[in-house]
Amino acid sequence: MLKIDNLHVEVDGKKILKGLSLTVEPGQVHAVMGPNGAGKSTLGNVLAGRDGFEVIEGSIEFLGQDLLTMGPDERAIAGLFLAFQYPVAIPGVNNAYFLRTALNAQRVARGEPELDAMGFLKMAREQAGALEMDDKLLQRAVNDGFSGGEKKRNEILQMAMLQPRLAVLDETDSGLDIDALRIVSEGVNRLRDAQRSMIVITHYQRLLDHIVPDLVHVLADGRIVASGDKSLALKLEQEGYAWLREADLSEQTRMAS
Amino acid sequence: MSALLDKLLSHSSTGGTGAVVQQMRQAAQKSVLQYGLPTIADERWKYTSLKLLERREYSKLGAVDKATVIRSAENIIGDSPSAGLVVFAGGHCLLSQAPEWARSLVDVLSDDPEAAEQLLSADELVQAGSSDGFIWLNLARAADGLIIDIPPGVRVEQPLHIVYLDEDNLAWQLRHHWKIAAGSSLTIVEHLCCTGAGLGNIYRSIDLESDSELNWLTMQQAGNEFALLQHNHLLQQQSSSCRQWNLDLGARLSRQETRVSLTEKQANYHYGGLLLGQQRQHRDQQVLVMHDAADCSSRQNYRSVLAGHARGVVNTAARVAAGADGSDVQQNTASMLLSNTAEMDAKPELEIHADEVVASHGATIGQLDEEALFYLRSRGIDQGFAKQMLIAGFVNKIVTGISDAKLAAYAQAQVQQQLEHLL
Repeated sequence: MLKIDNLHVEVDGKKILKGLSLTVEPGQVHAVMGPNGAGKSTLGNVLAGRDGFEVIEGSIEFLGQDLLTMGPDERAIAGLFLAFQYPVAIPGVNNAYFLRTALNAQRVARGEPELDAMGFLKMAREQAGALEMDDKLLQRAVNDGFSGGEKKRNEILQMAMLQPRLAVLDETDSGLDIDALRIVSEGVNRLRDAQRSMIVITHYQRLLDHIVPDLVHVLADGRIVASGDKSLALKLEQEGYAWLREADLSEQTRMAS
Repeated sequence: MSALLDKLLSHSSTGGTGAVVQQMRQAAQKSVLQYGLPTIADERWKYTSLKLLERREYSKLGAVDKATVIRSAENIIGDSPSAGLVVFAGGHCLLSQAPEWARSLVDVLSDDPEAAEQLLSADELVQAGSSDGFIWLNLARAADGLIIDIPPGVRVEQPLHIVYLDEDNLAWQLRHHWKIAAGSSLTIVEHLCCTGAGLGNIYRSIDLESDSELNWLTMQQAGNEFALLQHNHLLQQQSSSCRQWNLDLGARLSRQETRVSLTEKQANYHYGGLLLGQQRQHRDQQVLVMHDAADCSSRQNYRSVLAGHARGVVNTAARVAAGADGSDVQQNTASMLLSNTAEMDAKPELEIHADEVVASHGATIGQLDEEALFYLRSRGIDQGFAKQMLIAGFVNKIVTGISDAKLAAYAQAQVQQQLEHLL
């Protein structure tokens, strides 16, 4: 599904990712954790193709294609989806119109027929209902005046409608209360299947109680320094990241000597 | 005398045979010669140069084939519902299925000289303080115009459509007088569709009596060589309401100056303006609202999108007179520049002499939001269409404000067409 190899990324001339490698197989859910400034969001942005994130070394292969040569829209059409940490408000652009345009752009690119307004609205209302999201939000401008929780639900609604092959959830839990966290997580879990993969970027173990990952990675100083099953997340929750730095340091010391 | 004024005076007609009208025309011509045409040294004209117009040659007004012109105009308004159609071509006012309350200025001048005298002398008074040569030139040389006189208590349900058509490099002055009597209402939709390197000079005098209502949509979609200069003067009485939407989409040069006098209490004037510019197009909108009575409200909302080397000017001004307590004034101008070479001048002005007033103004100038563009693209929408969506979203505030849903949809389609050219 996804193969990231030795990825080095600079932002404004500053190195953020320093040799990150990660392989995600179909159907797997990977959690990426790590301290502030480790490069977690950079990973999400590089995958989605945001400007300003310059790949200076390494490669990303997605479903057999070279992801780095593709624009953000081509990546979406290939089946990649980024749930934004900070979803963007777009005054004047109707949420339902935006989502239908996106969905139909993807359908047309895949050679499928466009969905008409009625068919789309029926589907969108069902999905919004499952996320306990007021369907009036469909008729508002995209994320404009939405609460933090409404924005995150709107992200998951888009994901549910677009049915990506790989979803990257960038701190989807931030700003959510306990109930909203449960509802959003259930929405994500409904989308889990043998063909769809997910990368869940988070600071907190509590999200992983709801979305149980197959693998947990710790991202520190621009690369993955530890990987394990979900017990790794529990250890991080209890002990913080300090033990990793010590382990990392001792490893570097050993290598130097 | 400037070369341009020389050309304009030699090319335009002087309709009206009554002695008083002739005197007025001559007096107006004296004023033109006295003041000359405005230059960038005049504060209200400082952003709009007439050099381009000076270099051009203009043809004399001639006859037009009425049937052909009306047919073209019908194609433009399509199947929009209508209370009547008025077409201006070659400086002539042509009426088709026009209601009895609408007549051409030429007809009024010949059939009802006294009424014509009254209308024009009222203008003369209003204009007395003006040193703008184009206003005087219009009075001196207006070839025709549209006179609307709605009697009291008449609510006209369907819009009256006015279409301006010309293909040549004609220079014309047109003069409109629209009066809506107490308790009446009217919707006017103007389509400015002239092509060719012509010059239009339109003056509108609008009287809204108490409790009357005017909904007025102008779609300026003239060709890329046309130049259009407009002056509007509105007088609003008690509890009258004017809602104006001005979609300034075409023409090489368009400039409009609107002066609104809210003379009695509880009158309101709401203005929504949209400027789209590309290449070397020039747009200049000047609106002055005078709150002369208590409890009146005014809104001035602008959205501008400029590409290429286009230049936009928006001067929103409001003056609240002493004693005009309870005035409610809001001005907002938001502009988007799509290139490094486009230029926008936004100038909000508030002058307040009353104590109890709610007033606000704001002006922003920005670019296409890169974050929003990335967001749309990350969902699979290609860059070109994503940009179009963002710009449409930006200007939607004005278009969706049009109170009649059918007109709003019509206007939206016209704007969408122009947006496609912009990118």
